[in-house]
Amino acid sequence: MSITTPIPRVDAQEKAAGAAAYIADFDYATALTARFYRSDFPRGRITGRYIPELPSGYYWVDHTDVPGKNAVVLIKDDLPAFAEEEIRYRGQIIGILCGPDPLEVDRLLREVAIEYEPIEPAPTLDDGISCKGGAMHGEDNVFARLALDRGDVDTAFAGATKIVEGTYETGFQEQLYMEPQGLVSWFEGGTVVVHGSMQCPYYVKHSVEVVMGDAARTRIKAAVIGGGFGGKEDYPEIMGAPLSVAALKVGRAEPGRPLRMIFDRTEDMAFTSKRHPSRTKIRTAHDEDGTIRGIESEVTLDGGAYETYSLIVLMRAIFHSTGAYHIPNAKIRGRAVATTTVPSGAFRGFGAPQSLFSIEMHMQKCARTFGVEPLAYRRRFFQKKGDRTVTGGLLRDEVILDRLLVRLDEMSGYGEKQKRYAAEAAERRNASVVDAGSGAHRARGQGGALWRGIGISVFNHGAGFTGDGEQRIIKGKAAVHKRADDVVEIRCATTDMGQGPKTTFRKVVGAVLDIVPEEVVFVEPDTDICPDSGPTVASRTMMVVGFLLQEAAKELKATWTPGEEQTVTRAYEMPPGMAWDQNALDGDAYAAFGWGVNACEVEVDPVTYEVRVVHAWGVYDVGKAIDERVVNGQIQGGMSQALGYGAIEKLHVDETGTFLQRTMADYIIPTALDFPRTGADTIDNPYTYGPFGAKGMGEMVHDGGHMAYAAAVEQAIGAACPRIPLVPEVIMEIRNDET
Amino acid sequence: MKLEFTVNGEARSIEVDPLRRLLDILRDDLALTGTKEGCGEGECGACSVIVEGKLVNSCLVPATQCAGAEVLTVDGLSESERGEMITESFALMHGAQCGFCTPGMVMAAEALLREQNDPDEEAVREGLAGNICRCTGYDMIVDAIQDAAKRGKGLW
Ligand code: FES
Ligand code: FES
Repeated sequence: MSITTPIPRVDAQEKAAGAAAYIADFDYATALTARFYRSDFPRGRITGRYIPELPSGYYWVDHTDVPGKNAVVLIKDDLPAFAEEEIRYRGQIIGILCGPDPLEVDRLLREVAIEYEPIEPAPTLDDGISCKGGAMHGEDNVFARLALDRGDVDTAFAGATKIVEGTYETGFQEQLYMEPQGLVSWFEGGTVVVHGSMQCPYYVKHSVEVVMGDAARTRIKAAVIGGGFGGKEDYPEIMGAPLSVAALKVGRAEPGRPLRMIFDRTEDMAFTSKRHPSRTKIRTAHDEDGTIRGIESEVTLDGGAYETYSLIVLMRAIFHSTGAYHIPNAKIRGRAVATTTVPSGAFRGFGAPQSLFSIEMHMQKCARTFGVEPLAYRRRFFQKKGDRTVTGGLLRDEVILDRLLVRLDEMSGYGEKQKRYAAEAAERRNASVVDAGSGAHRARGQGGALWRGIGISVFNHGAGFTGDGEQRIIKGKAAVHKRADDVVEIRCATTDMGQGPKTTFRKVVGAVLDIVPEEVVFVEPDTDICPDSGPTVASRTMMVVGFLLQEAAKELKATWTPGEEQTVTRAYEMPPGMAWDQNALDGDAYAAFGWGVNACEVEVDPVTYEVRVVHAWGVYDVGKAIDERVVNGQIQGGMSQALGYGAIEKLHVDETGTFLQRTMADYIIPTALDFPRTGADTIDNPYTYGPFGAKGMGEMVHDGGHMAYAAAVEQAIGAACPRIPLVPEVIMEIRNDET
Repeated sequence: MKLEFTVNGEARSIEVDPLRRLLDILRDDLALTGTKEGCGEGECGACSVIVEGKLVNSCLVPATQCAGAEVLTVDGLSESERGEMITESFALMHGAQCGFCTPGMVMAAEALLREQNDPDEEAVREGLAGNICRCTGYDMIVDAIQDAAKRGKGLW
C-alpha cells in the first residue's frame, strides 16, 4: 500500500463523539476564574490606578508581580506582559483579576479604574506612516525595513519600452479557529505549569521562562487544539506569560490552585492577533513584446501596536514578492509600520498570501496591457530548475508547474472557459458602446444576464524556517521511543491543530517500522517529556519534523531489541549545499518550495454585484502526499479560507483602531452554502530531504484562492480588482471608478 | 428553579437558575462536555443538541425551556448504533480536522438523516447551514454524512 493511500483519521472518531479533551473540557474543579483587565482607551499614558479592595480568595496581578522580565518574547520582546505606563491599543493587558466566583470577578473588574493622559491614536497604515499623535516606535514608526537587490534594475528600467505600475491592497483577516483561546496555569513545588490550546509549547515555555526569571521552573502541556491557523502561534504566549505570573502569585498562597482563563468569542475576536493588512506598489519594466526586464516592489505591512512577529512576516512577504516567476533584475523594499491596533501576528501563509496577491494581480495587469491571455503571459516567466530566486537561492528541484496546469485544465476546463468568457465580456462591452451611442438607458449588464469569469493563480511557498533558521535558531529535535512492551511512541513538540500529524506522523513511523499506524502512540506534547521540535508553524511539520521522525524510526529499526526500552532522538541538519547569509538576506531562503495552481469560476450579478463562486480547483506539488485525504482536506479547507479572504471576510477598524466587526454575525466566514466543492489534486515530485519525499504544504493552500477569485471577478466585471476583500460594495466602487 | 428533564434517555432533576443556558447545564452541571461552545451567540452551531426532536443551539436555550423536555447530546448519540455510524464516517472520510465543530456537525447530521435518509449534496449542505467549520471547507463533512447514510442504510 502506498503511503499516499488514505487511512481513517486516527483522532477523528473520538473528536466526533465529543470525547476528545479540549482545554475547556478538563475538570479543574478547584480552579479560579482568571480574566484580563484591559485598557478601555486606545492610546495614552497611565497616571494612576485604582484597584478595589478584594475579598479574600481574590487576587489582582499586574507588572509589579513579574519576577523576571516584564516582556512577551515573540521574536521581538517589545510587547510588555502587563502594561506599565504606555498604552498603544484598546484592549492592551494591564492586569489579571482572579477568584472563585466568575460573576464576582466581573464585578470587581468593573470597579478597577485607570487614570491616563490620552494620546491621539493612529489607526490606519497612513496614520502610522505619518506618525499621527507622534511616533510610538522609534523615530518613524517603522518596526522593520528590509531590502533585496538582484541584478541591475536601473538599466532594466532605463532600457524599457513600457512600464506597468499598480498598487495592491489586502485587509485584515481573523483566524477564527472554532475553539477560542484557553489556558490553565498553576504553581506547585517550584514549577509553574501551563496547559492549554497552543500550537507551540516551547514558544510558550520560552515566554514563561522570561517572565519567571529564577522564580520557577516551567512545564507546558498542550491539550487537543480546536484549530490554530497561526492564531495559536503567538497568542498563547501573549496570554500565557501574564497568566503564569498570576499562577505564581496565587500558588505561593495556595499551592497548586489552578487559574482558568477561557476566552469567549467576543474577547477572542476583539483582542487576538490578525493577519497583517498590506499595501504593495509594483512597477515592472518591459520590452515591446511584454517581456519583464525588471521589477520594483515596495510592500508595507500594518504591524499593529507592537512589533512582535512583524519582522519575520515581512521577510516572508518580500521573499515571495516575485511569486513563481523568474525576474532577473529586482529591487524589493519592505517595511512594517506601527499603528494603534492589536499587534498583527501569525496567520497561515505569514506574509506570502499578501505579496503573492500583489504579484499575481500585477501579472493580470501586465497581461491586459500587452493583450495576452493571463495564463499564457505568466507562463513566459515561470521559474525552472537551476534558476536563481529573488534572494539568489538556487532552485535545485524540478519545477513541475506545466504538469500541474495540465491537470488543472483537465479538471476546470480553464482554457476553453477563459476564451468563452472573454468573448462574452467583449460582447458586453460592444453592446454598451452601442447603448451609449443610441442614448438608450438599460440596466447595467445585459438585461440581468449574469457576468461570468474564470481566473487563475500560480504561486509557490517556501517550506520551513527562513534560510538557516532551522539550524541556527530552531535546532529541532524529535524522538521515537520504544517502551519495554515494544509499543512505539512518537515524542515531539509538534501539535495537531487539525492539520493531521496525529495521523500522518503515525503513518510515517509505522511505515518505516512495519507497524499499523493506529498502534503507534502519539504523546500529547509536554515539555517535560517531548524534545523541542520547534514550533508548529511555517509548513515545517511534515517536511522538517516528519523527516526527523522518519530518520529516528529507521535507526530504531536497525537497533530494535525486543523487550527493551529504547529512545532514538534525531536533530535537524541542514541539507547539504544550502547556503544563507542572514545579514545580506542572500542565498537559499528555503530548503524547498511547494508549488500550486488554482482556478476559480464566478458569476457576478450585474445589478447587486453579488458574486457567486461557481467552481474552485487547486492542484499542488507537495512532494509526496503522506495521506491523500489529509492533503486534499488541507487544500479544500485552505482554499475555502483564501476564498473567504478574497470575497467576504471584511474586518475594519474605527477611528481609534478598534475592530468594528465584533461577533461572528458581523465577521462573516464561509458556510457550507457559500462556496462549491473544491476540486483538489496533487502531483508527485518527491523531495530528497522530506519523509517519503514530502514537502511542506499547510500554508500554501491559503496562497492562491483569493487571487484566482479576484482574477475571475476581473474578467466578469471587465475592470481591475487590486484590493480584497472584493465584497459587493467594493466591486461597485471599482465599477463606478471605471465609468 | 427545579429542572426536571431527560438527557440522553436518563431522567435528571437539578436545581438551576431559570436563565441558565442549556449549554452550561450540560457541560458544567452534568459534565457532558461533548457539546462545545464556539461563539455563545447562536452563530456557529458547535453547541448543537436535539431537543424534542429538533436541532437547536444550546447556547440560546434557557433552562426554563427545557422543563420536561427530552434532550439528546453528542455524548448520548455517539453511543447509539446511528451515532457510531456517523462518527465512524467522520473518521473514514476525514470530516473532522481540529474537531471542534464536529460534535455539532454530528448532531446536525443526525437531525438531517432523520428527515431524509439519503440526502443529496445540496440537501446535506442545507442541513449544515447553521454549523460553521473553519478547517475543512465542508466537502469532507458532506462526504462523511453521505457515507453514513449509505453504510447505515435502514438505520434511519
Ligand atoms: S456556541 Fe452556540 S451557536 Fe455557537
Ligand atoms: S474541523 Fe475544525 S472547525 Fe471544523
